[in-house]
Amino acid sequence: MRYDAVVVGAGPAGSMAAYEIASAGHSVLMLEKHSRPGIPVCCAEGVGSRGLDKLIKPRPEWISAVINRVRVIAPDGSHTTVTLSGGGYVLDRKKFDYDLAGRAVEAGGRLECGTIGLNLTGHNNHFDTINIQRSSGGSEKIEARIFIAADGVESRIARMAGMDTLVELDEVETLLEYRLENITVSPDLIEFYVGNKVAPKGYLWVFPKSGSSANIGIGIITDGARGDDAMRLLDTFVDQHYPGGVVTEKMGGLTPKYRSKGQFRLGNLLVAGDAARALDSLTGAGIVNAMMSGRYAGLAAVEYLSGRIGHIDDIDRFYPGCFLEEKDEELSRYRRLKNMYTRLEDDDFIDIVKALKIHFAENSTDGINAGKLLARIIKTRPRLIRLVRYIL
Amino acid sequence: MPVILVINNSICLQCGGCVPLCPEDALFLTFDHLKYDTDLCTLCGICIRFCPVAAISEEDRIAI
Repeated sequence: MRYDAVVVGAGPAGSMAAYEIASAGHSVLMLEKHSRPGIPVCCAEGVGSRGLDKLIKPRPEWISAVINRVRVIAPDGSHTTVTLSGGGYVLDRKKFDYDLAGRAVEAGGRLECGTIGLNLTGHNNHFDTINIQRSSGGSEKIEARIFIAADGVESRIARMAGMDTLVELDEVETLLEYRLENITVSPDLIEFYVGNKVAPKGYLWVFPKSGSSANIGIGIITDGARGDDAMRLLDTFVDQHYPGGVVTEKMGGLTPKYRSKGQFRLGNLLVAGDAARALDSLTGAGIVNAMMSGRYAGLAAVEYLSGRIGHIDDIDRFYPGCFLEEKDEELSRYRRLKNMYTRLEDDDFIDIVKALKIHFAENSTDGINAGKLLARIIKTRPRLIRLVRYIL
Repeated sequence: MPVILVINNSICLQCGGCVPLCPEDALFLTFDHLKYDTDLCTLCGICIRFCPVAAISEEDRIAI
């Protein structure tokens, strides 16, 4: 078979890319490894409403909970709660991803589930064929003019193509999350527990799915530790805070660090979403970044397929150019922040929560986001206590 | 006694986090399970240290 474009992965990045390509009238095949888009969920499902609304009008059935408040809890139990002006959502990724892929199909794209891209072949970084394997058995060679790898953190397609996608152990977070039912939570409040006893060099989160269920997860840096420390710490937390909770799902994952221009393109292979490490290294937020990078990759593919780009290298202007123009500075800042964050001690966290309390008592939360705020506070870390006194 | 990597697919969450960590590209998440290429694996243990649910371990292979 021959298509104009092949997109590997029907998550938020792949579906956005395929939608743009199909909408412009080009033939596109989306390959999804699982039996349907949206499974398995490996996500806390939280997203800022501003970022999402800019990309797509959310359907009510995609939204499990509407978030208005964020609470940060320090190691000593002190906490501050901030009312968000923009707010956010906790999504239902099963429905959300499924519908995004459906949107690409409605636009004329083709979706094949239960397929793995086995290898990508070509010459001098110009790829022309992808060999696919079906879960039902059998394989097939698919030809295309441009390829988009949106296959998540595994990033296997880019690796097959010869890109260095290796992630160093000391720069990843191991993530583990439980879906907990039969509990009582405020459905408009997300909570972050910080401190090196609760989540070494990371944080623990409680994202409500309803008034009686939540995604409760942990991210820790595993360098020098063991990944299953995440399980022990999460179990301890759940036993302590939600003893009556029933775990109905377990999800794992990793947050690799953002690589700036590092992993977006190799010849006519465009890499988007988690596969390109297009995520916020501090919080692990990836949905909006994935959708945005996917959309730009799709638009760039259209420029190429329509003949408006003569040489493939000129595609840089569009991809990753447009994405980097919009996001590189922010994502690079989050990466630097993360580096600082991992050096914080429990006393720092206690002081930071104190500073947050004061900051929000005096400032509006308009347009504020966790990263910007932390940047402001961590930057003043050496003088944190003096700063708090000064404000007092 | 030779040591081998053992993947317990009944507890693996299929998150794929270990895949990009493997220096040898030996790990592969297929449709419904994680597998590894015995020829490529050097038993470096990085995947074992990463896994949040301890689904990967090293075990002695006992010749029977």
